[in-house]
Amino acid sequence: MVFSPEKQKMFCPYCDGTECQDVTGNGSLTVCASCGGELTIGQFVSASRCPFCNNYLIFDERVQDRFKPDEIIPFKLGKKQAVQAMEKEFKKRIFTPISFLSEKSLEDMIGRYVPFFLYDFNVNGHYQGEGTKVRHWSSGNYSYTETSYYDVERQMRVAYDNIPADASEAMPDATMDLIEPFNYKELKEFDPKYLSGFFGEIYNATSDAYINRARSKAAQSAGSLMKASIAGYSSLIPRVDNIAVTDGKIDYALFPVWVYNYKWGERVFPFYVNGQTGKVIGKTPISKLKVLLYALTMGGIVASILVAAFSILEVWWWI
Amino acid sequence: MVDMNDFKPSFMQWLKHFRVGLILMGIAVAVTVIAWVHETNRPSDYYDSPNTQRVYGDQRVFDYADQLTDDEEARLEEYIHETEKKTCMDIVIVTINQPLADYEPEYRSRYDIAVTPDKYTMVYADKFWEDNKFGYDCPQVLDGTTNTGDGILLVDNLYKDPEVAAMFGTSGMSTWMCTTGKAEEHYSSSDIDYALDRFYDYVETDYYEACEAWVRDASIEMRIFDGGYFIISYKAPLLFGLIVALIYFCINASEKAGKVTVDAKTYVDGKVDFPVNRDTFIRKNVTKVYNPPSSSSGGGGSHGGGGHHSSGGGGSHGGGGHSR
Repeated sequence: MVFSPEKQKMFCPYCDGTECQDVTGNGSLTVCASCGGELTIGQFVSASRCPFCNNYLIFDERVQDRFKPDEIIPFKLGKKQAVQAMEKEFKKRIFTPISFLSEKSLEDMIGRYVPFFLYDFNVNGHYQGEGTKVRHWSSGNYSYTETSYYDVERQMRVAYDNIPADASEAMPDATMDLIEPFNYKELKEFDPKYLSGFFGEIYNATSDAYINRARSKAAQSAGSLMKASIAGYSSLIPRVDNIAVTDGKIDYALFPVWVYNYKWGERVFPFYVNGQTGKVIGKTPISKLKVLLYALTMGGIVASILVAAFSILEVWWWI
Repeated sequence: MVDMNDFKPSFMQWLKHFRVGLILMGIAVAVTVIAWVHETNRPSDYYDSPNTQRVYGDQRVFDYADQLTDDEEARLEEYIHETEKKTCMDIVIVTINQPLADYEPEYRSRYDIAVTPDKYTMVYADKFWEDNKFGYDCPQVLDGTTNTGDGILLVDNLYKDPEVAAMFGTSGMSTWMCTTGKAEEHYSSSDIDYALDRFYDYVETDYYEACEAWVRDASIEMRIFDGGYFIISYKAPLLFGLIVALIYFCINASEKAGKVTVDAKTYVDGKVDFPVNRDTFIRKNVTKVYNPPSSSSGGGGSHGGGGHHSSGGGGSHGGGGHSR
């Protein structure tokens, strides 16, 4: 029995039935429930596939008690849709060598539930400073410059809900930031059944290990919201500029990500597809020659249009 | 990184990507070719100068005040030579550094008109043109008509004449532009002012550039169309194209993982609340700067003269002067 993102139901790949049995892994960390093969399971793995019989296994004690996620966003995109999302993205990567795009075997994609902590914050901002607005005009033989001075003050209150920070050392932070946002309207209460058919991971460290990342996201956002509220001045000299962040509720959640490690030549190119929204993150190799040719084409188009414009001016207009 | 199997699909991808741009480029090339053909087939007004009587032969630059290096003089001669071919008129530049009051009595004796000190350069210029038999079509026929002796002359006198200085509040240097023949008919007073302004734009910073700017202005003002002289500058478009290419390259040459799709408001719960949101006006101050009446010569030079007059030798000239 595995979870089918397309059907959003448990599904038996052998008998094509849904909800036919309710068997998940037996919870043993060392022996496969199906074939009895001995398993070596990584430190943070909560769901995996038996290398001998290819059955998916869920390790119950790693989804229970302190490891039980508060919430989960189940996979919405199946492998086929994830592959389509990647192919669509690849079409946009015009500087990637065609051979790279055609040699991929996307069947090796795996679905992973990545552990995230979701942090709530309350932010209070206080800004006080002097702003100037400058106006120029001229009249007669005189030009005038009027500088108006304002006392500017803002107090801002803003609440942040569920700022995510991934709790997986295996997933690069920058990539996980790019794969955001997830649609929280589809957050569901955790149920182990969602894990079947996918790989799962538990948080690698407790929530305080990642809170600074989330906190700085909140502070950064608050800073730019504050800045946006005092637009329109020619210059601003701050006297007070404070952002105070107060920590709030923390949730532990699993988010769905399709992962595909593409080996091409000497390099490995990891790709990540948001299992909910289909957003694709990953670097593709760039052919500098291709970029150069495109750049020269672009320059050639611009130059030829300019030459044509000059010719028109020279011949028909400058008489 | 590009092997031959990739060539065809890559080429098709390139064609598809630049389909609009390549069509525009095609149109641009067609327009340029049409312009070139049109220009090449235009009946030409160009003719070789039949004037063989010029006292100084091919020389057009007379740098008596020594404002240009030898190399600059040679470059300027070359530039003037090309511009003469485009305009069919003589273009002469004279720099001097001497008081010109001596030239005045001859003029006054003939016309019984007193010449004010700012017009001394005018008298000098007219005399220089006539005595040295300039004129693209032929030396000027001194019968008072405007139909011979095609050309323009610039006299820049670096002598600081105290009387000129007193008249205009400048340092007393004066510059005169003299127009003769078809140039006299073509140039209005404001055209002459404009040409002198181009000279004054650079005269304090780069004397050569000032001279070239004045000649360039004449080449635009008096250009005749000639099949052999369809010259468009490819330098500026090429440079611009290269800059565009460079920017395009820099933007696209690095590997990117993806775009950021969260903004400052993505995780904001509810509304951003501003309990205090105050912009209190405190004071203002206004500064006032006097701008002298607009003068395109910028350096506080004076404009004078203009219009048509007869020279001491009896030829008709147009002209105008500035002082700095």
